[in-house]
Amino acid sequence: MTPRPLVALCGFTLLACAETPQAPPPLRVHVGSPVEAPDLAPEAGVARFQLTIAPHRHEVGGVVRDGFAYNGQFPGPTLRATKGDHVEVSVRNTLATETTVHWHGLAVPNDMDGVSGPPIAPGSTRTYRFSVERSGTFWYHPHLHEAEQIDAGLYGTFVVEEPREPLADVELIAVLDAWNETLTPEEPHVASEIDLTPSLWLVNGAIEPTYLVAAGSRVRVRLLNASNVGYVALARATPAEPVSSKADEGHAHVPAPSVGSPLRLIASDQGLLPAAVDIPELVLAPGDRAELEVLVGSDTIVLVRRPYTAAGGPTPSPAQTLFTVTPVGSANTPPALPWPFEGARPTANVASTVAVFALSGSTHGAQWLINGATFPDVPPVVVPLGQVAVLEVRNVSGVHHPFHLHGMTFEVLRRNGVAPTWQTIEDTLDLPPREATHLLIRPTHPGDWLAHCHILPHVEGGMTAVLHVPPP
Amino acid sequence: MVSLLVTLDGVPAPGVAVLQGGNPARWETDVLGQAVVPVDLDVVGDLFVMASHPDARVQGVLVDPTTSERMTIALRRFDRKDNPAYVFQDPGAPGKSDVAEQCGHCHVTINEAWHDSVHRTSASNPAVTATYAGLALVEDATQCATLGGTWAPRPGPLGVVAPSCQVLPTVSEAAAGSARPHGGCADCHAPGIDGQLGGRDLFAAGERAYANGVHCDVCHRTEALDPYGGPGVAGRLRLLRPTEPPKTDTLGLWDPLTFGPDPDVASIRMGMVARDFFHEAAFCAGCHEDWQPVLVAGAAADTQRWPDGRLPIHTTFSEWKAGPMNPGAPCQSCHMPADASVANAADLQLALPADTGIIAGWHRPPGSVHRHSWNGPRRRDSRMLELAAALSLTVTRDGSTLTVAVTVRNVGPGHAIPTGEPMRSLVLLVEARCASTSLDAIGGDVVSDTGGALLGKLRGADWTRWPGAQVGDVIRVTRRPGGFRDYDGPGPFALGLLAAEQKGVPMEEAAGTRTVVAVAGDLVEFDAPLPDGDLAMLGRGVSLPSDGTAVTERAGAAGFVFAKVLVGKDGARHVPHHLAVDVASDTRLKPQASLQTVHRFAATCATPTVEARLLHRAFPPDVARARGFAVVESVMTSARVGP
Repeated sequence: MTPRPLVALCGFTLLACAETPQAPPPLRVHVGSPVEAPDLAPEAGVARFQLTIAPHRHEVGGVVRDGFAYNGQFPGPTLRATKGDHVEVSVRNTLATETTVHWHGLAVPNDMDGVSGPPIAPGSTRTYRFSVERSGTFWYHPHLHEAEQIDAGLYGTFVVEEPREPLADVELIAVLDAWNETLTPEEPHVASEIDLTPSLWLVNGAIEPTYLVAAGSRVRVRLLNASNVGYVALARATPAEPVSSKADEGHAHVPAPSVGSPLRLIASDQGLLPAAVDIPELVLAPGDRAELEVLVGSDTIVLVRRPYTAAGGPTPSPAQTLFTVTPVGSANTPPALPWPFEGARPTANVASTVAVFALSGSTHGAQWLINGATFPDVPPVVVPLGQVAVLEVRNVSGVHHPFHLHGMTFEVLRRNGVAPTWQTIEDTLDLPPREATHLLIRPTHPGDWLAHCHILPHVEGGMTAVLHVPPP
Repeated sequence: MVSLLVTLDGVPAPGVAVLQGGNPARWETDVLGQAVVPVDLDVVGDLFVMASHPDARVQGVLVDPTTSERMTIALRRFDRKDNPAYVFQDPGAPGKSDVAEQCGHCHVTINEAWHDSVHRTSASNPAVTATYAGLALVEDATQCATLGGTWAPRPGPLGVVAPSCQVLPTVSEAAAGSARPHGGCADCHAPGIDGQLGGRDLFAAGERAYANGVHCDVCHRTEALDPYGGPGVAGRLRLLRPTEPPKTDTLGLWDPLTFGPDPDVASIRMGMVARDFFHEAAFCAGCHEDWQPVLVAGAAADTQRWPDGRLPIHTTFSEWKAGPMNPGAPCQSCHMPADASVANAADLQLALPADTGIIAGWHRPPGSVHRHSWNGPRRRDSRMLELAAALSLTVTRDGSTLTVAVTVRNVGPGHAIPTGEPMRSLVLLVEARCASTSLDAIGGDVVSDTGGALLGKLRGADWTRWPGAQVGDVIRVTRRPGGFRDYDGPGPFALGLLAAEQKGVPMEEAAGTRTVVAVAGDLVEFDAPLPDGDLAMLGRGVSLPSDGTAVTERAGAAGFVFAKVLVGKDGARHVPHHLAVDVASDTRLKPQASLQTVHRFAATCATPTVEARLLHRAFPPDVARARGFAVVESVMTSARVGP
């Protein structure tokens, strides 16, 4: 990649480490983020990484569980490239089972997507090669036995930087995951339920971590929800909001007062938004990413997870602490960074809908359907290469579905007939029950591309379709 | 771990489900009636282990984690004799009820959702009452006379005698002496009439049964389903009202006996017995499937068309059963969506924390409680109309002829669209225009008579006189070139089961539309001479209608109608089902099915705008006019091509 100076990496929670960079050139400062994989490419314009997949013993809150890991890390190492880079990732599989790597959110050639290409057999190595054309926070994970392998710990973030964007004083990559979601065959009736209401959430593999940050810092928080089924409704704790903490053994308590202001959303799946948006709550569906700019003054900031489920949205349980940002020192809240927001508006006057995907299914059954069929029986949709097309996705079921499209991004044209204020480019979009969404696509790579719900039991239940993009 | 022995009427019972309250894991007793249940001490609320057997009320025991002593749960079979002396319970008004006997005392959210649902108004809906009594909903004798009805005092619901306008025979008059006295309407529309179950007069419903329609104590008194029975209580829904004396004085006259989906409700006030069918479409088939014998005296079904003499009136369940959503998406998945706002079905989130467990239930996984709202298409916030169908347009031009192909697809529901009440219809309207000028439809598919006409005349009749016509009305002329349309409709109307002519839709195409520009008595002047054709229909409403506007007569317009058409003894079309002797046609769209229609217009500009709109109508305009029903257009979806 085209490098930016990297002088401070502090990859541990509860570690005071973030000092404000002293002098040019600008520095990338991390607190508590997953350790990055070294870029092995000496040349500019190329980013080269090595990943080794191996069994791994996870220990969380004193509980040990056997799983898997990339490079012995949980979550896996962050891969970092620059927009326009050619990327090569050599992946060695030491597991006893096959696996693949899917580059979630990146528009890669079809055989590099982790679906169409050959799997990585036990004991073998495969190199994935592709270019990164958009900046943002992406992630990688298996697309074979994915429910089991992701839950076992196989996931990591892939950051693509845009050189025009300013460096934040501190970058925090926060990978959220529910601990031990794997459905147990001994309890099939539980497996039939849509939502296991995971109660224990990890941030970068830790429970309720605290990140110490110099007061006065502007923190770029890159969020990923890597869970199989769990939703995160992220908010800043307010003084009046009861919060359940693991430390309190589940009893509700009122936290110390915090800033209590809304979240400043600056980016979603596919990089910087057209404008920053202040929101009271950020709902991250499985597979979803978002970026926040957190301006740290002298007050502690507690980020909580308000109970939220795919099966109907908010629930009446108390909120739970996810992580805490504690300022070190004293300073005024800094001004926001000068992000190069472009203010793009939604595309207008586009072609009529070429296909409708209607999502249905029951929480008391095992089938999750698209257009009345389960994968691979869902009739494929043909979309010409390079041409603009509109997909309409309708959620006719009673539960949420995060709709994910491989191999290309989509622009959200309308949600229930209403265009968004700003142009919205995504690769994973949560559809609440009864929502109809029109998505604009323009395939850039030929091949058969999956379109599926990213609630992994729904994938196993058949909620996957194929977009066929014929070669030119 | 808790070691359990479960007995049924004193005998060790194998295969009984045992579980801990608040813990979704389940186990079964072995051949000796024994089981070991791991107890999760982290479960919030009472530590309670219970047993569930289909023939006994759920029973349980409090767990003492300090002892390893084997515990016994003694189940007793409930009495399987129905109790006609039982009085159905009152669900209660919205809001928390102070009366423990009312369902809303604990189940506040569910009760409120039900109260806002069409199940509650299944009897009290004015259209239901009017249909049952053969009435038109008009205000006075003058209006009644214009409809040809008789205005007189008559007994109505709850025994109230009041003046009303009768335009058709009542159901009871029509069905007298038939296999279904009173038409069987009350068996589904007022199933909670005390005493004898089934075969009751809808107007025999007391205040509670009439006002509450399909309510808690009917569904949750259903012990079994009989797939071979008729619709409703005493038919497919086998109710069992409790007969045993109560265990305590506070429980009322009878020992409670309730059927529901959960095996871990051990409340003595509920007397719960678990039944899986509450999650199954077959439960809804209890009423949403009706193959009805002909009820009209002196008439019978054509046994060549209907071999067992019954007409497919309500076929929602069989449409689903034959479709791709079976079994993946049963009725409940759409019409009773998950409700994450409650901690359990008894609103545990409103209860005192100390009551968590036997009294107020345990926390359920969010989403496992289902909203008792029975979302339907006429409840607009359900968005079911908007989600049901998709339209796509293809426009081509050859000289001055613009050809529009419209594909309508049923993408959302697991049943046909429309479904349920046979009066429902979907009307596709296709319009082409140059700027604000509508182009004349000169060929292609048209809206059938179900789309409504103020007056229709065949070739050879006097097409210059149109009583009631107004300036701005239109005459739509169609041609009938002969032959019948074959189509792939639901059930018996699927391809290959009936010949095209037996499917009842004559080939019909647009010939042209003219506008009334002057009226003198019955004589009418048009903006241009009427085109040659076989049928001319007077209509009202020219441009595409908007959502919520009153229905207008569109027969003969470029478009199509998706509907089931019932015909009466005298050949009248769109009769209510108790007067039906045949189903003439059924063009409704099966789940995931699509139909392409083609329309031709005379183009007067280079790039006309083409727009198609799909409407849902509760009643055909002719029926609405004749019965005084206020009906509006509901726009389901639309598509547009051009400037």
